[in-house]
Amino acid sequence: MPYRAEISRTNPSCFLFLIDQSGSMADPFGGDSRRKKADGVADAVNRLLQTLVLRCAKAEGVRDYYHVGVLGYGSNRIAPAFGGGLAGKMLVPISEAANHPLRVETRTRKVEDGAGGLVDQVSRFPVWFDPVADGATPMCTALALAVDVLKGFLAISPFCYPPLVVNITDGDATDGDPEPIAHDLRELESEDGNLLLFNLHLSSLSARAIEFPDSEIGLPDQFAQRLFRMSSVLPPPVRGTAQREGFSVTETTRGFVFNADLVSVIRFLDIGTRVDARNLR
Amino acid sequence: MPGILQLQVQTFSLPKDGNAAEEYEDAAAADVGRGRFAIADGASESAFARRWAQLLAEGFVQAAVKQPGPWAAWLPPLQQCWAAEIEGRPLPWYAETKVEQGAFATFLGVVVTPANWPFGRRRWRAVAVGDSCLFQVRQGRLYRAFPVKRSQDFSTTPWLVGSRTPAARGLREREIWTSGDWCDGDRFWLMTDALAQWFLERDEGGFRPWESLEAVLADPVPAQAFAALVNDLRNAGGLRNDDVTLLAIGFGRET
Repeated sequence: MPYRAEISRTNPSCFLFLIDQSGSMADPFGGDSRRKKADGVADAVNRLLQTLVLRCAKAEGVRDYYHVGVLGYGSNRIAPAFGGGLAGKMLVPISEAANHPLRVETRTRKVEDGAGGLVDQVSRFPVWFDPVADGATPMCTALALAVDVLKGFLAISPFCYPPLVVNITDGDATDGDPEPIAHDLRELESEDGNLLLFNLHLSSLSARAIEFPDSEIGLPDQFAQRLFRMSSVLPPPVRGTAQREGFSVTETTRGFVFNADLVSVIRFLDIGTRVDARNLR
Repeated sequence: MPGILQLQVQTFSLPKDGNAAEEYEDAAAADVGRGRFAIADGASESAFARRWAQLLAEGFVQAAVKQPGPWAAWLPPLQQCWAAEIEGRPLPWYAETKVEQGAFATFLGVVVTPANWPFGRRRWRAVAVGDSCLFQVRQGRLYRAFPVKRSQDFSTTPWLVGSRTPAARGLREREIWTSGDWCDGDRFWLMTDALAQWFLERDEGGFRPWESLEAVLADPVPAQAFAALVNDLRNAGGLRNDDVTLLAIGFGRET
């Protein structure tokens, strides 16, 4: 049965993030004039990577259950978007990403001290990407490069849990129609099933957040509708996990979210006993 | 005249296939003299879970208080011990975040009384958080299954005991208590989730999974027989690849 392969250090899977760094990403995000879409992209990909690293982190270090890559598109160029010690690298083992963020910021928040008061809790927030917004949106070319990169990964990992590609964009491709290339990407497969393509649409519209819809009817604009069509239908095992995570899903639900949080997709992937949020209360 | 009936215990464990022995994150503990037994299964997503599972299992059997007792009476010192062992170490950002979240484990503890028959009523009491299981087999059938009763009820998000979660909070809704009686000839099997799921599936299919486990106990080299059984089941697809822990508790007569 597909989407059942064990994700392990000897049979790792792969995450590839495609991030839109075009000029339109400097526009406001979600109807909030103070916040840019580019901030939303940087925040989303930093949080996704942080969540992924934490899922693989053990006392002795980070286990390489995944290879990860980030491809930036904008400014008329498409290139690996990692900086610092990872500059120029396309796919790296997750432990290497964990150990080489650009910087680790310290954030302080108030938490209950258990005795009716509040105390400062310091947490560490790794940053791999800063916001970038410049030039055109060569999404088609980026998707085509993703096809090449993942063909390479699948050639050396033919039995892996299918790779997951997460495209974070405002949907406005300037180099043609991305739908056929997205289709080519979804057609890539391992012995365990087809590659999954998820799209995170960051929009200037102040429309309500939408998570994992099952139809394009009712989506706020043509870009959202197209990104919905480009996204993979959730295969049954992933659908089951999404359901247990509290999402309302049907047989036509796709991996698409609009102005919403995508961190939940990392929880859809099974790498052992999870610490469900219920236990943290 | 038969001798005094005494508790006997045998413990078996094997790490997940592909993992090193030191990556095994289950734990088991037994105090035959007090009739106390416990198993714990460290959640793979949490860090320092192996140590937490050990502390939980050993803490339950060694506690000065009567067991199973209220969590607040025996859990806080274990949580302090876990934190004291880890704090002060220089850690990378992800390990720091993991330590802040704490380690997590499922837990099952049982007390069989009295440990030495013939005095007192033959009772057992157990407490569980999550899907570490106890099965009581009597006269060739599964007599009690606790806390999970059906193989379909296992999931990847069981209830857990946290190393940083205040004992007074939350555990009341996560814990399950039960009690029962025992007879001469009964066998208790304590096992972590993967083996427990296999056990229930086989029982539901009309097979007698305890017979395979009894064969392990009867083998001249039980640990080797256990490893062979687990590997065969994994290779045949009947057993999920996970850490495996088994405690076999029986009653024998001292001669």
